[in-house]
Amino acid sequence: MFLVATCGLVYELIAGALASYLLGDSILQFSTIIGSYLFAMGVGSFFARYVRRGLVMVFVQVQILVGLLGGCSAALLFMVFSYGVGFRPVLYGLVFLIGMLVGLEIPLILRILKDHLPFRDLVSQVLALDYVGALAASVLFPLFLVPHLGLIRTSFMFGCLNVGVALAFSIKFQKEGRWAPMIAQGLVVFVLNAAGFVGADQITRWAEDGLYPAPVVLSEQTPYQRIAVTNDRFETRLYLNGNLQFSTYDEYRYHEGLVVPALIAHPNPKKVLVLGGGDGLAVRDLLKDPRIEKITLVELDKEMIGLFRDNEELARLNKHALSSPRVKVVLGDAFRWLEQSKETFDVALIDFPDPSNYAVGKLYTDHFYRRLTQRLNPGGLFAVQCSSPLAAPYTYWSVVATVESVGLKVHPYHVYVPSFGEWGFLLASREPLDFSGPFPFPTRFLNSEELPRLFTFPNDMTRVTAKVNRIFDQVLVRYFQSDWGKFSREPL
Amino acid sequence: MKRRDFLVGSLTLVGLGMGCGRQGSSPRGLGKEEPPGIKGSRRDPSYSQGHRLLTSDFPTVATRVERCRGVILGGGISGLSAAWRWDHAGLKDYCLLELEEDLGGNSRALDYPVTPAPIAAHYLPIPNLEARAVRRVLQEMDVLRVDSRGKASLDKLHLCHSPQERLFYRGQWFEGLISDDILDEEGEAQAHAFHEHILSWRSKRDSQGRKIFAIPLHYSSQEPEYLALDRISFSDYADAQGWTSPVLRWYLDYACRDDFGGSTRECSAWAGLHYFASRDGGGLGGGDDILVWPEGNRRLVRHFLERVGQNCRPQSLVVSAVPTPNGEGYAIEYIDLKTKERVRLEAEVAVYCLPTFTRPYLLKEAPLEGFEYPPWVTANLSLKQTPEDRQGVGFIAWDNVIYDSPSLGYVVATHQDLAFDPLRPTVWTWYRPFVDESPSEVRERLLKARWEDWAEIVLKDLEGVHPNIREVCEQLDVTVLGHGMIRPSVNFLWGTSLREARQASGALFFGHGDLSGMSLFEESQFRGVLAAEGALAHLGQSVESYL
Repeated sequence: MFLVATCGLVYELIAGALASYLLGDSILQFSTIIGSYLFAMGVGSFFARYVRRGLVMVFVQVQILVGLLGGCSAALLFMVFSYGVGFRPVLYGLVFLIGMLVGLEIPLILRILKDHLPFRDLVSQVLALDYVGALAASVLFPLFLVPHLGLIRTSFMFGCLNVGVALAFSIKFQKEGRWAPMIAQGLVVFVLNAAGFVGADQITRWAEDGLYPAPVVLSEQTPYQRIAVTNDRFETRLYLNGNLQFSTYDEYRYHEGLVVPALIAHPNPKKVLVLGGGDGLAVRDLLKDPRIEKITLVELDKEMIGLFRDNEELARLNKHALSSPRVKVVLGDAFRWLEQSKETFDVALIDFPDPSNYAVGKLYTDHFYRRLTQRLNPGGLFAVQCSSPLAAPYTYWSVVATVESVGLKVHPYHVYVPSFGEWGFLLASREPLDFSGPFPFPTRFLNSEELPRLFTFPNDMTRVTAKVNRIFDQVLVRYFQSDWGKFSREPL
Repeated sequence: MKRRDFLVGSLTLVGLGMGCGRQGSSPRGLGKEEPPGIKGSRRDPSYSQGHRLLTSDFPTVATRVERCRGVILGGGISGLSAAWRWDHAGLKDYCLLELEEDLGGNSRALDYPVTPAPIAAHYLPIPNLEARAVRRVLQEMDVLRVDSRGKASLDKLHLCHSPQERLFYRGQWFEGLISDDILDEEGEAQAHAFHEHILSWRSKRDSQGRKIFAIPLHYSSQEPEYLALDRISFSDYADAQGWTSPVLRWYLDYACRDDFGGSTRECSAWAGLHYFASRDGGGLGGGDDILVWPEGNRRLVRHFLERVGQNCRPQSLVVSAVPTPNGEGYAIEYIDLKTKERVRLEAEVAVYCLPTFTRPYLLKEAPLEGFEYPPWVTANLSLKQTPEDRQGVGFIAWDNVIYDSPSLGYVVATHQDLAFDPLRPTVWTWYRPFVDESPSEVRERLLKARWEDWAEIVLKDLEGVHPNIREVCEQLDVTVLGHGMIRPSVNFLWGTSLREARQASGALFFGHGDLSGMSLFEESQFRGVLAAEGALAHLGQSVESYL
């Protein structure tokens, strides 16, 4: 009885936890799930009256069914969410079914045991055990089960327990019916649950595959971000925290856009600084310019460097750029490094993630660009990737205004990258730049006809008035959220 | 299974469901019991030493007599400001007596390997134009610069970086302390009306052109219709305005607890409005902009100490202050806690910068009416890294507030670091004032509480928001401030008791910040400087006022 009660509550907790994790707003998720579950229990209790014969058989059958549905619930919900097919109907459907079955349990068990115990003892014992079971579930679930087993394993484990109860009942009451088919059924569900328990990691991987449009070949959680690499026949893609960073199909456009105009504008770049860009793709292009003697790459996440330097398949994408003797990799925060370093550079490329939060937003402030300018040699310049002037105009032009505010001459430009859309960059220097110089290396995308066009902005990308991003008032993060917020839809 | 059982089970989970879903996160701690890793202590002010005044278990006869021109009792912001003023006036023959080892009172800080962190006072709003002495200090510190044409500007790096504040409301963080995201339609309309109401107070001037609410509050309008606001509670005022939204009311209450250690029921409407309407940025920035340092206001203390440190005598327990036999000066007797010696100091003038509640013990005055000092508990948490929280690491603010918690949340000492790295160690200061309770009963309770009790309260409060706080917390130091700060209770700020307490008595001048009725840097400095200048005049030295 105790076990039955514990199992019942655990499934309901799993549904609530999964819903609040996947859908957010835990209060809403928990209260609607508790409500549906309790209601379904009422429905189950009501229908218990229609069970007239073979009470034990029905009870065992209910247990096996609960074991099946409840046991698989977490894995099933995960998969359904990942593959984007009606999560909510499945969630509430499952909650309702399990609730109804659990609702059947107590009326049935009271009737089964009424001949074995006086009614007074029976009611109080059954209900007492029921409540104690609920307590055990509510304490075990957050403190032990979830942290140690995870949701998917927890649900499979309780599936096994439910079936265990069914089998124990079958043995105890074996005189009261034909048990062979029931035991067979129970064993099948038990094996299914046990297999799920063992294979939970594989299930998580399948579910994750569904979050990305192509199969995930590598997935790693670092202290800073979740790195995922997907691969299919056409392309390899890198995602950081679910956001696309590059696709091998068209990243050459992005990286030539970041690297080439800067190298054309500088007559003799010897020392180059790259901030961010741990994938090494910008460095790969820089290495093609024989004038460059030394490249310093500053990257926060050492796992990124590890992957793109030491993982053969990924290092091939950047042509092993991070192992080049001309490249020095520094691990650390770019701002801190700028404050501490005394080195100076001819060209700097700034390839940070978009300013989606304040920690990254600091790297787009006037104060940051002032420090960066102090690290430039005379005649030095820097290029910045700064989101999309088409999709996120306030974000883009706020970065432009911020760089201008520190007294630099800014050349805004944009490149079309199919997997990103129109993408914005800027070049900044103390003196106006001249782009008539030769191309630094043979290019796949840019040529001398296209180059001047990058610096013109058509009507739907003309400048908007945006404020300077300052460290004590980071308007950029708010611009970014409202610009991109237009495009976000509720996931379901 | 009853509804209640479900709810209990589910509520414990709301905090957890979020963290556990994040794949790859480290295993969570299991039990609620103290993990062995956390160390810490109670770092209380010297209660036992201070309370010796009650038992008088110290030498009764002075074994050494010294003479100097001036003496300052108390080394908090007001005492240090008085010393700073004397130093500027060329008066160097004085000494300042302080009970604690560290000077600065509520503006002290603790030092941790990664950063210092304040025990209490942690920010300074941009000073208004009328806060002339504050502007002078900031100019000395090179935080405020005045160019050749007299135009003032701030070194903006000292302004609190974005994001300044966030609120944990119903399982989620929201930027700012009150935002449309957490208000319903009616609440939004009321919050808007409140905002407009405050702006109108900010720009209003009385018939003599004075601000209604100034800082220092000495410069506020004295017209009776405005002073009458001091005779009702802020909560009655809010009722009368029709501000009924629970979220808005929480916000008003939070502000009063934060600045005054009182609820809106305890604080006067004048004080509550002053909190919101007095600051205008003084032409240097917004009215809400504040200056912050990792060590909090100890930055200001250290500035004073650069000038006056050599005149300070820490660990000196003052036991009596009486006029000298000839009636022309003041004789102070104190116990040097390092040598246990009783010393007699005879000075021509004395400035009393100890809290007013000490006067019955030291000056044998009758207890003064209306002075209420709510107790506070603060805690400094030294953390291996920034704990997990639901919105991820990019969002942590300087001031982090939990809706409906009796605590005020916490401030992050490393917030002004240019690089935010969630894996680096940090130190937080957590705050809890005691409101709507009898202060003396709370004090009695606090004296008995052990470090473990408070560590548990702090961790429980934070755990609902940061589930792995126990795993990352390495040290937790609790400071109990029995008389945390003066409270601007109803009818206190402009009542007779406060006015009378400011009156000098012969060569004894009173300069503690509680004589303003609010515990703010600006007010403590104002009272300290005012008393110091009064003492200078008493010595026959005429100076131009800094105020």
